[in-house]
Amino acid sequence: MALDPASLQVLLARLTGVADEMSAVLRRAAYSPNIKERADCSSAVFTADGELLAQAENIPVHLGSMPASVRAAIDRFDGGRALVPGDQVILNDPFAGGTHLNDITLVAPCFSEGTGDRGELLGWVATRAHHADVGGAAPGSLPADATEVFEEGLRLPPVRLTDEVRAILTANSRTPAERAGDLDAQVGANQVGVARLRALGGEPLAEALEYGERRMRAALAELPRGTWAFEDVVDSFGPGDHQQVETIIRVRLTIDDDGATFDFTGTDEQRAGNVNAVEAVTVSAVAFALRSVLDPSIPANGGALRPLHVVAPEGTIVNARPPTAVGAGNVEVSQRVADVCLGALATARPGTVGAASQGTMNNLLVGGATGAGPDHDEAWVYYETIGGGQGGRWFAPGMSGVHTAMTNTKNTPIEALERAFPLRVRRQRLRRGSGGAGLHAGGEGIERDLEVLAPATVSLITERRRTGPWGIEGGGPGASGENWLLPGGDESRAERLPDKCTIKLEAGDVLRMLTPGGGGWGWPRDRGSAA
Amino acid sequence: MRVASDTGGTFTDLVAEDGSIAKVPSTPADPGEAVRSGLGDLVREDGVARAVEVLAHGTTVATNALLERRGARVALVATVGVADVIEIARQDRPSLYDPRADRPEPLVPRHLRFEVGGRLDAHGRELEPVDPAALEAVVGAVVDSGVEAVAVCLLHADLDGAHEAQVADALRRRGLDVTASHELAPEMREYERTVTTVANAYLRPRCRTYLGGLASAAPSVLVMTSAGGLVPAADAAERPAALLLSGPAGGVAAGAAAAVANGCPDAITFDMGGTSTDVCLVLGGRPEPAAEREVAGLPVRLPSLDVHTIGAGGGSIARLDPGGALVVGPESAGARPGPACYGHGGTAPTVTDANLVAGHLPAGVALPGIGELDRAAAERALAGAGVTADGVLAVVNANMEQALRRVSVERGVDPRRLALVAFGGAGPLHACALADALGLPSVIVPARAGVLSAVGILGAPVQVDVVASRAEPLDHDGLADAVDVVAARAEATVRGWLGDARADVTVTASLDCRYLGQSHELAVPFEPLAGADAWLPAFHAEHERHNGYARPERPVEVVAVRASAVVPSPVTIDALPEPSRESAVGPAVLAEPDCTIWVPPGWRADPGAAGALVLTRT
Repeated sequence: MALDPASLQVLLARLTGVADEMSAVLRRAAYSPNIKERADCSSAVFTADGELLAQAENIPVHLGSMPASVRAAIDRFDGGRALVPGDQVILNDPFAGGTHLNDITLVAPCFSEGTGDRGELLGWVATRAHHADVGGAAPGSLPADATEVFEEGLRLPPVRLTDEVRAILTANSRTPAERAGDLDAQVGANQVGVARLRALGGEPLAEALEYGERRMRAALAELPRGTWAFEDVVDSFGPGDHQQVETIIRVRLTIDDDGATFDFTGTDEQRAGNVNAVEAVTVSAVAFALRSVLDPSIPANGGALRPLHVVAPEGTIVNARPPTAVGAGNVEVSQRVADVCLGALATARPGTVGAASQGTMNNLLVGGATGAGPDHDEAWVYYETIGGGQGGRWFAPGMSGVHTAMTNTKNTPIEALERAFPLRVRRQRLRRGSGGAGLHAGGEGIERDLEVLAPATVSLITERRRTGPWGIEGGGPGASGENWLLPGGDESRAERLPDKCTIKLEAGDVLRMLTPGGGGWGWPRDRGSAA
Repeated sequence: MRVASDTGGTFTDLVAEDGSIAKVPSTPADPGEAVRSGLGDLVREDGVARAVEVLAHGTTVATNALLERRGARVALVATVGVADVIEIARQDRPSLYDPRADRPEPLVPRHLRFEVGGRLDAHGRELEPVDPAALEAVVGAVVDSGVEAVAVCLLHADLDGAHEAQVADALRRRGLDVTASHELAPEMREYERTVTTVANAYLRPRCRTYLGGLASAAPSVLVMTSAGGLVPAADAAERPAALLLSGPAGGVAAGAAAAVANGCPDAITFDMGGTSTDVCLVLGGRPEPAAEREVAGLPVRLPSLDVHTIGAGGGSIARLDPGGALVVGPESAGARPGPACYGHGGTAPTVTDANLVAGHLPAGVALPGIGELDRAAAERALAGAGVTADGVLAVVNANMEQALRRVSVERGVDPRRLALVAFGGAGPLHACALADALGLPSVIVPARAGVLSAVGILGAPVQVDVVASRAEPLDHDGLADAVDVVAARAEATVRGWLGDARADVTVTASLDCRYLGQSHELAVPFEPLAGADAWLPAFHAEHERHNGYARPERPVEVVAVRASAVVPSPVTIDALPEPSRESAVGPAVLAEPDCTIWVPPGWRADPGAAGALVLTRT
């Protein structure tokens, strides 16, 4: 080891500090509530070779998927040699470094000299932010009935961010002012990151990776050796009757001296819908599961990912190929991948993993025409995800009404929502009794009634409407979720909606969503004593 | 005579307007006992009994009751359909990856959450009235539940409090102790306002008892609030939620005053104690305000100072982690057993042990309440953990550096133009190293650095803050009138406390502004005499400073108007008798009765204004 323990820790703190500061700048300067309030954004720092050094992610689905963006920029721009100081590379193409089109990633090279002679490539920084609308067939750019990526909005392969590219992007969004403001925030965050990384240029950055690998290997050494399998399903892949077919995700976890391998061979083929994940999203969900079962203080860097192997066969739902739609891969398939990985880990080491959590983000996108929204010159778009039940844990019940696994975005306060959009929240309460039975019961879902006060287009992308989150160690499943439409707010005319749909609503219509409860952990006391 | 007291975990500090000091052990069972005993020490100084007319008091009674969950049984009355807001919170979990991490238990259990009909729209207009018969049923249920206090928080009540008042009146008629959100914190965002309202109801019985018991200590008892101002004890007892973040406010205020006195109106205060460290940005002599902060994971939506706290201090324990990195904290040795060098049985190496071994703390000098430090024990502890003193200091300084960056760089302020004001037991030991790391030009160690919080309370003004939400944020026509209303309320409150004849009441106003479509506001001063729209360019400029850009072409929303009425303290703390301090050239250890200052090589220390010691590079 070249660095002494204190110098190593100081280096780690500085690298984390760079990522944290980038995220702080990004959130401080962001224009849209989606980034500023919901914190649907991340920042990361990389070596010149594109290995992750440190990351400040606010939602886990960004963990582990950012390196693919930097890899795409490296490949497109001749290892960085085709770039000069000040250049930034923008991309959102899920098939070239992205995840889904809403997530726009900006990658900037860091050279040893500031301007002029560009010097040596020291590393890269990147920011990712979920942009609320990037065009496509429905407000929010996640049309539930999409089958091709072209329906989901503007697709940007890795290109230099120029005024021209920016103009194309804003012209393709329903909310151009927001897009411009959020993009400015990302640019500024990357500039801060470049300057701070340059100041660390002389440091032995690779030491941080070696350290991450040591920590991960030490943690893996505490797991038993062997192979375990687990599987679960995605309920449907779109609104159509023919799309109400389960898609199986299978994983085989092998832990040996080489590390942990998550092999998804046997998983079903990608579907003619938007419920398809690209490989980066799958890697992200695997990394989440492992991290939450092992020591969460292990740094999330490329070194720690070295002992982690993911086998995701091309053309399956966990490694989709173009030109399929992928909008829900990021937000829904990722949840189920996390579930099967946690399930396999629970089998490997029983008693240290909780039951399944709600397993969906309950995505709701709503938008309407110019004149009804907060800015009378623009159309309006609102995106939210709704919490549900956490699975019962080995030591305590699951939490109720929270986001679980791959997301952790805050809700929009009812008062803020109603003052900004033609929407009214009629009810938001915990869904009593929805948690799975168990020694430690699953957490409860949320009941939410949302009234639209102006004509609107709504997309719902939800899961666990047919299956329920599984219990474990004898616990029962959580209640599955339900989506309803109450025309004119009339209970007597309530009609059940599919788990995924894009529909038009009239003023006065109410959308009711009941989100899933978490599974239970352990035999319930009464059942246990009877057995 | 005016006296200030500050209750800490270990000691209760008192400072009188003549500069005399008393330091007595705190009495956690009844914190007022230590205050009275300290007052006794002060007034008998020189054998001459002096009368205390005003006691300005800093208390942690409210904060500790919340942290330890020793408050009242509270019921919540909320708008129909949303009473679970107190449990759903903002729907995020506290840790992304740690499944063991739990959200704080809601202050109101499910069976004490009640709902009433009636609804306002987003402009505060009535959609449905509160049905009197249904209200009576809810009131009856609340009475039957046997609670000690009730919080009422209805949707959009910050825009119009009529429904809340109707509900609160009905409950009060039945003899219940009610906090209504529009009376306490009429600001948008229902979860934060609900928790603030509930916390107030939860803490009020205990705080009334405590502050009532202190009333006999002086003819006038004032209490420090989170915003850094004083209010009469009787008012403080009614609004205990406003005391929750008052702990660091005194030190920040006195630190800011010391910075201004030494020609540095822009500074960072750095208060490093045994278990935690508080840092706060000061611009133009004024500590940065915050509209909302958290206590124990719960949001408190009342004016406070924007203090950033990290859980590291002199007692933080150092160790090697499984990957071979040296980690400091978050575990702390606390006051007992404390650092190994205290000789109370501690064997884990702490930051204080590292300071001793590195020679930054003097060997052979007794610390108050602890005695002589055991250097051999510190060396054994460090060696036993496989760490070096210099290594521990490098790591803890790197952590502190991130905290200082949080309040400066991350807020768009270049630290190279800021002074570092260091106090607390460990602050002046680490300040120069931090100044070097971030390029700060100078370090200021104020006079009485060991009792600085009490000094700040002594110099704090009497202050009232009033806020009102705007129902039509894009309509700027009625702004001056709206400001007049809150300003008049603030002024009337202060005059009600201090008498109508006061000539020294200053009222200032500000607007909470944002661009249309944004979700966060910035406060911009509003000066009626500067012209009706003078605040608008000020907002663009503030947005540019804070966020790096402005959008002058976008519509601007004013979501709230604020006013603050202030009466300055009769005591100017800069004018307190100055302790005698002498110049020194580093390396030097300056041991003072209540704090130790480390002057590293390349630095020197010189007496500055207001009794401060100013450290600069040689």
